[in-house]
Amino acid sequence: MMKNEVNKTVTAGMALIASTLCMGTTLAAGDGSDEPGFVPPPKNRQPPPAPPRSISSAETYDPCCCCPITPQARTEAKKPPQPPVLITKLKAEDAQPSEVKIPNKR
Amino acid sequence: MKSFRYALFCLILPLLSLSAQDDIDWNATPNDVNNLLKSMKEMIDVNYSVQVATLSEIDADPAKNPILYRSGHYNFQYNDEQRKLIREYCLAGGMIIYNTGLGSAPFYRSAVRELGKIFPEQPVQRITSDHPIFHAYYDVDRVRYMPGVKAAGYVGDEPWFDAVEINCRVVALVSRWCMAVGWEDNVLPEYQAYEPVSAKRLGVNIFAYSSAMRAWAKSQAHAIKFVDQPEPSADKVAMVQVMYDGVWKTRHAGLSVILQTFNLKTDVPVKYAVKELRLTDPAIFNAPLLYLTGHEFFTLNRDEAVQLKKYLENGGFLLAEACCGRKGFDLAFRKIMQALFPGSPLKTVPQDNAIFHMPNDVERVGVTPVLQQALGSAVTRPRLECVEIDGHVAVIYSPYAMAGGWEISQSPYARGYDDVGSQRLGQNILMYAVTQ
Repeated sequence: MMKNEVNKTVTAGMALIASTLCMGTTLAAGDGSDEPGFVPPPKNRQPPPAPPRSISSAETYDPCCCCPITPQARTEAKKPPQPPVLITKLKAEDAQPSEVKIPNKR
Repeated sequence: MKSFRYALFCLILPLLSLSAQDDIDWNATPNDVNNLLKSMKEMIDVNYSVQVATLSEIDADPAKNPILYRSGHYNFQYNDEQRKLIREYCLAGGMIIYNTGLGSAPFYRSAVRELGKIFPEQPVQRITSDHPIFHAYYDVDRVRYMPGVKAAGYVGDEPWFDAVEINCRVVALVSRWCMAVGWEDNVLPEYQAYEPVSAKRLGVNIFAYSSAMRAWAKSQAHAIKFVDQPEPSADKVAMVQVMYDGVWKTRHAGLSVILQTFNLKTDVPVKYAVKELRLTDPAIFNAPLLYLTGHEFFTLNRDEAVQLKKYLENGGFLLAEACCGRKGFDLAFRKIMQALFPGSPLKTVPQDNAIFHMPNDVERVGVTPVLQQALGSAVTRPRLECVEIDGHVAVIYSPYAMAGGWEISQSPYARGYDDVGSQRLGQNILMYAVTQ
């Protein structure tokens, strides 16, 4: 009986936090989605390119569980030379509060 | 137990969606730069790569990350530390580009607002179609837009870039309409974006421009600045640089340098510190010489125009120069002169005028590579225009650049006289102004 009460309280608490977060997301906290001229990101988002293959298919095969870790033979260059970096694409700093969305102005 | 799981799900879902939104903001078009670089390889045979980093991972040395690119749809703002980093990076030769994802206005407004805070001394201004960035590789002063741009209210076929220019170099650029979906070849009619061909050409031009300017900017960052000598002197030539709405200060050291060389050449005591005043300031009447320059089209308000006319009619002297030989300024200046003095239009100064012979004999001058291309010759007769009022020359105008030559640091895209030619001509103009 007591356990049931605790469960109900925890569930209600979590639901409250969840709804607060949901509301925050919906209202978007001043991110501009409610401002004139806002255009959401495209829906037909293309996936980013797959990283270049640097191992042959044979190398993915594990012949046995106790074989030495080092492959016996390598047949191709592992990393092609990288051209110089010209552009740095800036990503949002999620983990840091520095580049933040503007708080809700309403 | 079921309700507990449901609550847990509800708790995680918004967190996931927040994180997805952050990712989709800066990376809504994950293949944009990659695809552009691939296109650049095919179009102009250059091979570069892209890296992804947060702003805090950026080195202020542009050699390590030559161009920064930020795309987005939502509002954003930087903290003071980040603004300082971007400023330091840009002034050292770097360039930051903001792409407005699908023309989303909140992102565009944020970018312009932030640049205003990062570079408070230089306004963010839309650059006109004769800007070298639209001609650095391809001529893209006219572009094709997706129908969504017209639906958003913009009618026109000129590209729309706002920029911060410091010392004749674009250090930060905001594209009002989206280039990224064009780079990705992923466009729909309703997108507020450039068509892929235009977007790619603009991209190539931006990166060609940035690369050409970076090497120059490095040396230019160390340009000399002269300061006033402390000892007082009664007879000094003080030059006033005219401030107006727009980018009125294109070079920061050129005037000081020409005044210094003028002093060495002629022994006229020169006040090195140049005053910067608006035309509405009555203090302009104390200055024997005004200097007006810029890149883009501009206008004077009624009060400024009235004051300038009064100043010139009272014996004042105006030296104007289209910095980098830009057509926007040229057009604006001619329009202003026409409005002020309709009976005395700008006319070419004849070659036998003293201005070409004192203190230097300047029969012919060398020109910058870009002007050489336009004129078809590396040497030309200097071209100055003037406005005469009641028999005295009140205005001298150079449609070609001189300030870059005064600083001995020509922009690679300047249409002007070479260093020696600019300095000799500049000295002559100053001499003419003080001896009239």
